[in-house]
Amino acid sequence: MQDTPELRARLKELIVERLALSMKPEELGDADRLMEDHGVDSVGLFWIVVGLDEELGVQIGEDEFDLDTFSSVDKLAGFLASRGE
Amino acid sequence: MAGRCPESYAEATLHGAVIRGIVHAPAEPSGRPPVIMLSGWGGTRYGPNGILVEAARALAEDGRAVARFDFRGRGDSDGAVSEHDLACHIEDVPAMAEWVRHEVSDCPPVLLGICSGGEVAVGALFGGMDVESVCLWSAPVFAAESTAARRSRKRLGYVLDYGRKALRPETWSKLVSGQVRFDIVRRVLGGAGVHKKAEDEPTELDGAAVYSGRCGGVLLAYGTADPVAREAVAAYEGLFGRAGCGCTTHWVSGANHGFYGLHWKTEVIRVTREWLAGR
Amino acid sequence: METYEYIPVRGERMFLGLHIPDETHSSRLDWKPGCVVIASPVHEEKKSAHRPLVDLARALEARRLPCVRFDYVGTGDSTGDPSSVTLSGMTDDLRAAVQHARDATGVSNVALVGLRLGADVAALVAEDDSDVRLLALVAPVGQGRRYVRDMRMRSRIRGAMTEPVDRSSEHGDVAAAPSPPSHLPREMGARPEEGPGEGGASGRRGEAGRLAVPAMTRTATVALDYDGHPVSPRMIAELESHDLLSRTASIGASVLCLDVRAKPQPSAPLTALADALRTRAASVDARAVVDEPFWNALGPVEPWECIGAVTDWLD
Repeated sequence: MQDTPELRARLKELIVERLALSMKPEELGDADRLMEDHGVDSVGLFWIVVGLDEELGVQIGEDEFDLDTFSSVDKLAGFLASRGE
Repeated sequence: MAGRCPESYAEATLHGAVIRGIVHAPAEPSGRPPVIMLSGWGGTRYGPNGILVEAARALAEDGRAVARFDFRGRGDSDGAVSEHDLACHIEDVPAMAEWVRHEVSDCPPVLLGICSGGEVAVGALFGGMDVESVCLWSAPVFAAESTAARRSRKRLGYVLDYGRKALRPETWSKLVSGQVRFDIVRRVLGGAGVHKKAEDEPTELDGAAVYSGRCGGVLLAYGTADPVAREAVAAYEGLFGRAGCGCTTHWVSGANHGFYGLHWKTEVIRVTREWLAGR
Repeated sequence: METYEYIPVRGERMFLGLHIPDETHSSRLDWKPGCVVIASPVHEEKKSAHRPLVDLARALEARRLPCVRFDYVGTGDSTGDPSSVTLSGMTDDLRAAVQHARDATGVSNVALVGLRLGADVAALVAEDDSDVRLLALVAPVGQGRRYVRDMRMRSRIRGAMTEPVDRSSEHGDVAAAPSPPSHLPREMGARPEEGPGEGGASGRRGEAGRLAVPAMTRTATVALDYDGHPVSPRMIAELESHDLLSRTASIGASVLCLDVRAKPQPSAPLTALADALRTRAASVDARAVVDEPFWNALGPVEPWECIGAVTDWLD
């Protein structure tokens, strides 16, 4: 998996849909802080993890979870690309 | 906790609606005031991770009767979810108390509220209800002074969202026409953007001016990892201080808002039992 | 009429709610259910889903379909040790609720509606009960190891969002109320110091900053502190070996597999489950409704799309 505009677009769509954010996916900034700026809480983070599994086929291990990784689309895309899947 | 004291189903009524709950009879009646438990905003009478059930069973073993009712529009009680807000929940408390007074004990009860249930307890207290004491677990408050975090988009959005959910449009119209105890609602929810403040309105809750009930003491129990804790504790300590009501604060180290952990839950129940036993 | 009572089950008192209409559905065909029994989820999903399931029961009662809800032993208002909850125990409790529903209504044909793990339990009961005519599986778990993985992940996430323990206030002395920690409560997004450990949100950080699990949360009866819900080793083992997709026992009921999600199409896991059930059930209908996954909601919700879909399918 490479960090591409397409991946980021999919991530934004996943995040906006799963968390029912009141915005269009393209309005979610790459560097937006998901927790501070958009109120994503522990339930929301869990739904992102589930969404990555169900929609991208990416399973995040318990040991892999890190708040920083899920803090923004930037960080998440970089993490997924670094996994080399 | 298996629950060794008798537990039975109970019904109170208000405006034709049935308020449903469970009453825990004490292992051995002690004459101590009964406890009325008030659940959080989206929850039920058993509370997050069953904390209210466990606490009720523990307090029953300590000799106290405990009543856990669902607010109207919540749990098993009558009423549509979207038609009942915090103002309605505050109205429910006297009905619960009346049932307890009639069926269990006529001693002024202890009100124990978790999360917004704590705000409801405060609302009932400042509405003139006589209570032996109040226990507030993770109770937020929206009349606290603004902080940098509250000015953030997230916090403002949260407050406005809470305000929208907590007070539906119909309630607003009643507020304007004077059909709702606006002073109580305002003092529960504060002036954090949910209404337009007049120039002469106080900037903080005026406990001494609005407090009309009797309360022997207040226990505040909060987790140190609860985002609303610092602000809420400061506000409630100030509020009850101005009302001349003694306040004890206990911090549960590392605990989050709902005490979502076995040892946090154990600690907050233990602390509450000890505090009540010492009264 | 809505009534509540306790019945004896497995040495405990199981709490039930009965929604019995004044008149039952007079045009009901022989093969349609005389009563609906709802199997709820467990853990915090149960709390979040409680009111929606009450609304479902009331909607069914309004359609003149008797309905029974219940709290598994060790959950909700039923007595029993919460750490004793197991998949096999939940299955026994549902069977007891079904029997009580039959006794209360005088009919033997029933429909089971299960949500999340309750759906899996309903499917297990339907395998052994030929008078279960309709089976609605709402957002079923399907594979228990997935549920265990999700439990651990949720605990991990909560743990990551919890600040380190302040040793100076560790025991929270009531008599001398401690001052709050000098540092602010953790702001969302702050970086945890160390990686995870078992016990999730209940873990405390030791001297080295690693998330260590206090001895009290790891006992013979608690394998996982799931957000304050004690999960036993037996429950973990039963979940790990539970897989609806690999079971072969026939199910005489017509089955609805219903997803509740942001998209109108069933998810891949639900579709796979539906495909597996088609080999052994009378018929299988797989659908999705666009609605909030209300079993995870923190606030009050009214998932009328889901309630309507289940009610329409049953009626």
